[in-house]
Amino acid sequence: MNNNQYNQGPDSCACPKGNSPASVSGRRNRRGFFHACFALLTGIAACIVAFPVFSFFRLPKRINTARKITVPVADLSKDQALFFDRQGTQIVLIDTAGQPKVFDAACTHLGCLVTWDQNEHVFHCPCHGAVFDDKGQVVKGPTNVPLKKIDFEIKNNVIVIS
Amino acid sequence: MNRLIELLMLIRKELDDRFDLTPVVQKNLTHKQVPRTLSWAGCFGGLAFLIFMIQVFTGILLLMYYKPDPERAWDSVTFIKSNVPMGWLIQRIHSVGANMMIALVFLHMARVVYLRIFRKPRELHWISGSVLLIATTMMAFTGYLLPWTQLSYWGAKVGTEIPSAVPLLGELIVVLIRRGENISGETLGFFFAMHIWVIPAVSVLMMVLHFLMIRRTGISRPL
Repeated sequence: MNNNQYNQGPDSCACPKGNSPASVSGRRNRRGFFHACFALLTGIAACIVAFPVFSFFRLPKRINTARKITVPVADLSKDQALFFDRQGTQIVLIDTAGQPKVFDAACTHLGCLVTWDQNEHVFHCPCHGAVFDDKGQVVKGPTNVPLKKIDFEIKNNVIVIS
Repeated sequence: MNRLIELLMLIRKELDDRFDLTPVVQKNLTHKQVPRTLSWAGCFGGLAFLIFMIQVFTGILLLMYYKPDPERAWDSVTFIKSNVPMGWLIQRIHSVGANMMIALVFLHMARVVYLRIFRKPRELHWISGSVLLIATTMMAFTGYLLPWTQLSYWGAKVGTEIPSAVPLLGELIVVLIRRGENISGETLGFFFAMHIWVIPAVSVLMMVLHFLMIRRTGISRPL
């Protein structure tokens, strides 16, 4: 291999090869200094890359979409259920015996969305067969926690769920 | 700090006891020798590869929020740019990186042509490189549609019109790549699949071949 063709290895040095202890330690110090500089620059570069990448995994800003859900009482039909999205969670509005009720539609067992059975007047959970009555109480099933009630008010014949 | 260095040294020693890795790393990476006559222009290919890796990485990040659906694509890109922390930067790196990668690929090719590096024994380097050029432009073209803006829509419209010049089969090719007569949701889904999976996979395969062949023949040594 022709030595002129290739860069020489990192151990070779263009300076005359003195064997005096001073020059050897001087070269070691210089190498240590360059190693430290290299490590520092690499660290800074890594931080510059890491900052936006880690930032990216933070939660994004959400535009506040908290708006009220309003349902005119006239739109309710007896024994029917209406499902709404309330800031990412599903809620269900039922009207039985002229008495509207609002529940969180997530089953209290493992969070599946319940369905309304208008003939039997019960909620069925499709996942593990839990059954809740029209007051949200447990009729049957793996859970013993009733459906969560959601507060609402009726103003001028309009149901307002905040 | 010293403890950390000691720990790293210990890991290195234990790995070396088992796999003898240090000589392999030195030969191929840290003490790898390149021809002295190699100029800085020899970096273009490597830089294009670096940008490819940046594109893969930022692309994966963007994939966390992008939705390939005509109803939501534009909204999701706007969401990335305005609501996701540093999303604007990641999105910008991905789009600027695409342009940079094409520029670097062309510079790399220009050097190879100018120095006649494509001749024997490096013909297959040139051919795999040509496939990589097509793959790179295809990744840029398919990626351009994904934000679903007016520009990307008409860009895709004009771009997919080009194969219609092919005799006899032209119209069929246009319909096949548009997934229908016009640019639609199906086009978006098709371009998305091509952009994130098919073309990058082909590119990686070609890059592996390209790099292995360069290792085997060695870097061309101009006089």
